Amino acid sequence: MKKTVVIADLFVIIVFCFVSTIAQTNLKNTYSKIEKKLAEDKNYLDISSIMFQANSVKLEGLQNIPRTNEKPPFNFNTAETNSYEVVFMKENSEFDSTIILQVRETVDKSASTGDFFGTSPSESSKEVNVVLTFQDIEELYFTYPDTYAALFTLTEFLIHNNEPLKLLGIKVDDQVNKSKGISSKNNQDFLNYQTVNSNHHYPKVVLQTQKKLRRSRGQTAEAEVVDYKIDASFGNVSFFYKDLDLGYSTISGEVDMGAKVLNLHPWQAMSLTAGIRSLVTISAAAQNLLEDFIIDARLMGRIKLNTSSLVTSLPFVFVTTPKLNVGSGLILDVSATRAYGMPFINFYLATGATKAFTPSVKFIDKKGENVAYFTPQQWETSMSFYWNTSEEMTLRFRIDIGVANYNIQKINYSTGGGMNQVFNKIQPATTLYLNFAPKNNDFFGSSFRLFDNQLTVKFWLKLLEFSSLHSFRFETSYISAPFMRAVKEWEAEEGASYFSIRYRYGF
Amino acid sequence: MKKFSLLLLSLVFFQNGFSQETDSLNVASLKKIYNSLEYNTIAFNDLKEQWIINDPVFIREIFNRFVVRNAFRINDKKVSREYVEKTTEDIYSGNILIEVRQRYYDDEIEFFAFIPEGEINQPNPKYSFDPVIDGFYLREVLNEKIYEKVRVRDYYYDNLTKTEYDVKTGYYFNLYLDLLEPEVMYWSTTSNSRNKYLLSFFGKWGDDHIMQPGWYANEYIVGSKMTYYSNISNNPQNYTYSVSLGTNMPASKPFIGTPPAKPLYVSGKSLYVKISGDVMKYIDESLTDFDLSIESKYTFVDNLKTLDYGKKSAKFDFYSNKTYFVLELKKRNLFDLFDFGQFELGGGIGSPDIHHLQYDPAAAKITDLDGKKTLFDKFTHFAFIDFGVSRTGGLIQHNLNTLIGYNVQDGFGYFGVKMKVMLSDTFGMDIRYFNTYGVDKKKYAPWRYDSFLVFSPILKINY
Repeated sequence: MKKTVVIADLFVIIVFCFVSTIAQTNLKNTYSKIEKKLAEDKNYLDISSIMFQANSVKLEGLQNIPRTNEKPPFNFNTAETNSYEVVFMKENSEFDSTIILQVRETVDKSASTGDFFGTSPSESSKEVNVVLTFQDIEELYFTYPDTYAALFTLTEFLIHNNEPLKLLGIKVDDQVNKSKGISSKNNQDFLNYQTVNSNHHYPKVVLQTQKKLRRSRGQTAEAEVVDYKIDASFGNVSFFYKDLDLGYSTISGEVDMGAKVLNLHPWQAMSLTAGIRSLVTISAAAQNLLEDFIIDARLMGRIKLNTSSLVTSLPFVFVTTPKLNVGSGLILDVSATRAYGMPFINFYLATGATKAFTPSVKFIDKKGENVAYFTPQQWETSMSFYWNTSEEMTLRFRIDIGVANYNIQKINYSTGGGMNQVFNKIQPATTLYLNFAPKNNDFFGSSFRLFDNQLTVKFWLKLLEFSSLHSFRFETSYISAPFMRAVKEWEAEEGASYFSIRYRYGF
Repeated sequence: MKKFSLLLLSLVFFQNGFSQETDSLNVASLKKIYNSLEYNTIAFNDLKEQWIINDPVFIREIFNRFVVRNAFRINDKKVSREYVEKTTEDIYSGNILIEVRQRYYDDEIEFFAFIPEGEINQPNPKYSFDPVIDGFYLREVLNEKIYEKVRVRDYYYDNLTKTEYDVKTGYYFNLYLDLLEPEVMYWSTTSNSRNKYLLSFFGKWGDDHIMQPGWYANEYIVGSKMTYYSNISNNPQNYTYSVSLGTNMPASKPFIGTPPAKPLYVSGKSLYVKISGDVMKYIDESLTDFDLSIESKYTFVDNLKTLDYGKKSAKFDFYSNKTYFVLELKKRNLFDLFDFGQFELGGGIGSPDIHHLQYDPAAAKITDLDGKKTLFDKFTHFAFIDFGVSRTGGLIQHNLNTLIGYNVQDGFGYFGVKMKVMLSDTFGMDIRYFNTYGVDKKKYAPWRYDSFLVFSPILKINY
C-alpha cells in the first residue's frame, strides 16, 4: 500500500514538473521570437529609442541589475565613451504605458584608443551591444519589480525631456495611398498642363512635392532666365520677348498653319493665321498664379493661302488634295481658369465674310458639276477638367467637354456660282489629354479628340534637351476618316497623318 | 505516511500550480507585446496581397518543415502526434491549403495558416493550427530558401488580393459620359456643410418607357439639372430630389439600318421637364428608398427648321411625337439578392402622342393628316414594370434590369433588358435590348421597329 502511494506521489510530481516545464518552454519560445523580431525586423517595428549617457542621469536603484541566462549583473558605465539607448514601445491600444524592450550600449572605441594612423573622429569605430535584452527586462518586471520601476522611471524622465527617435523603417507618410488620384482645387493642374503643352510661355509653378525636395542636395538648378522664348514646329511658330512681360500680362506672337475646330492638319487647312496672345492675371494684392484668375487670350487674323498643291508634296503631311477652303477672318481664342466655382472655360470663335469668297480649290463633284466648298465660321466652347493619378502628378489628365460648330457654304459654278449653306450643325466635341511628366519634367503627351464623327489622335515625345533651355520634341497626329456616317463631299475619304519636330527654347 | 504524502502532494500541487499560472500569465503578457510590435495596418487588411497556396507538393514540403521543427501549435500549445498524423491524411488528400497574407508596406509575410479547403470562404475560418503571424519566425521554421519561395509565388496559387479600392463619390466634379444619358456636373455648393446642391448639364437620348430607346429616338434632349442631397452620400442614388429642364435637338441614328417607310421625325421645339425624388418618406418616415419621377416633353412650337427629314423636294408623310408623359415609382433596396446586388422593383405608365403629318417642301408647310382626332385621341398609353438588381460600390458596379411594357390601346407589348456594368466606377458599358410581342402588323405603327438594340460605352470621372 505504502509503495503504491509513493509511486502515485512520484507520478503526480513528475506530471506537474512536466507541465511546468512546458509552460517555461512556452515562455522561452516567446522570448526567443520577440528577440529575433527585434533583431531582424528593421522595417516594421513601431518602436522608438532614446539616448542618454550614464553620467548625465541619476541611476538610483539601477546598480547590479540582474540578468538572465547566467550573465553577470549589469552596471551602467559612466565613462564619456559609453552611451546608452533605451528601446521602447509607446503606449498603444494594448498597453496603457511605455514598454521597455531593450537597452543598448554604444562604446566609442576610437576616443579611448590611440590610432597609429590617426583615424579621424568621423571614421571612429563604434561598438553596439544589447546589454539588457528583452528577456532580461521582462524578468526584471516579473521578478525584480523595484529595479524595473527604476528603469521605467529613468525612461519616462528621458522621454519627457527629449524627443525619442522613431525606429519605424517604413515611410508611411510618403506611401499614403488613396483610392483615386487628385484634382487640384486651384490653378495647379491648369498651369501644369499649359506649361508642358502650350506653345506660348507660361510661368512654371513648383509642385508641392518638389518644394520639399529642393532643400536637399543633388537637385537640378533652376532653369536659366532668358530674354526670349521660341516654340517652332513645321506648322506653328510662337515668339516671346522679355520686354513684353508687363507684370500683370505677357504678350507674345504666333503664326499658325492649322485651323482649330476643323478636322484638318496644318497646311491642309489652306490658311495662315497670325496674331498676338496675351496671358492676363487678375490678382488681389499680390500676384499668386495658383489662386489668381488667369485669362489666356489670342486675337488673330486668318487669310486663305493656297497650299493645295504644296501640301501633297510636303514630306511631313500625308493627305490627299484638300477639298475644303477655309475663309479669311478674325479669330478669338480664350481660356480662363475657374471663376465662382465653375470649371475651366474655353471659347474659340473664327469668323469671316461669306460673300465675295474666291476659293483656292474647286473640283468636279459626283454629279459632274464644278463646285467649291468653304467654311467661313467655326466656334467651339468647352469646359476643362483636370486630374492626376497621384500626388506626384506624374500622369496628368485633362478632358474638354463641349460643343463645336462649323458651317459649310457650297458654290456651284456649273449653275452660275450661286452660294448656299449646306451644313451648319452644333455637335458635341470631347478631347481627352494625357501627359506623362516625371518629376515635373515634360516627357510625353497625347490627346484624343472626338468631333463630327472623326477621331484625332496626337502624340508627342521629347527627344532631346540640353542646357535646360533647348528641347526638341517629335510630334505626330492622325485624323481618321468619318465613321458611323457617310463621308461628305468636302471631306477626305481616308484618314490623314502629319508629323513634325518641335523646337522649344527658354521654356 | 498518508499525511506526509498528502502534505507533499499539496506542496507540489500548490507550487506547480502557482508557477504554472504565473508563467501562463507571463506568456499571455509577452504575446500581447509580440503582437503589438509591428506598425498597425489593420485598416488595410483587405487590401494586402493575399493568396492561397494550392500546390500539393509545395504544401507537403512546407507541412513537413513544420513537423520537423515541431512548430505546430494550437492555442499556443504543442499538438499531439496523433493530431498531426490525422492532419497529414488531409494533406495527402489535398484538403488542406495554406492562406498567406503579406504586409502592406513591404512584402514580408504577416499571416500564414494551414486551412481546410471548406473553411476558405467562411467568415471565421477554423484553421488546422495556430496561424503564424510573424514572417521572421516563419523564416526560421521554413528556412530562408523556402520562405523566399513562398514570397515570390513560384508555384500554383489563387490570388485573393483586392485589385481596386471601393469607389466613393466626390463632389468637386463629376463627368458621366454615356451617349444615352450623359451628365457633366459643373457647379456644387452647400448651405449647411452637410447637404449638397449639384448643377449639371445632362443629355438624354430616347426613353425606354415609351419604347423609343436611345438611337431610335430622332431627338436628343439637352439641358441642366439640379440635384439636391440632404446628406452627402457615397451612393449617387441617395439623392433627395432632382429637377431637370431641357430642350430637344435633332439627332441622327447610328447602326439601325434601313429606316421605316414612314419614319418618326422631330417637328418642333420642345420643353423637357423631369422631377424625381425620394418623396414617400414625407408621407411616412418608414417609406424610404422610393423614387418617384414625373417626366414630360412638350412641343410648344412647330419649328420647320428642326425637321430632320433630309433633302426632299416632293410632299411626304411622316410621324412625329410632340408630347409625352412618364410616371414611375420605384422601390430600391428591397432585399439583397445574394451577393449580386439590391433588388429593386418599379412600375408606371408612359403616354406619348403621335401625330401623322405631311410636309410640303414647296409650300414649307406641315399638314396634320389626323386632323379629325382630338389631342387626347393621339395619345397612346404604355403600362410597364421594371425590376432588377443594382449594386453600387466595390470593384464592379451594375444595374441589371428587366423592363416589360404593354400598350393598352394597340394591344401589343415589349420586353427587354437594360444592362449597365462599370468597372471601378470609371469604365463601363450601357446596353439595352427590347423586343416586341403580340404585334398586330395592321395596327402596329409603321415607324416602329420590331426589336431595339442600343449601347454606349461609359466613362466616368469623379473627384
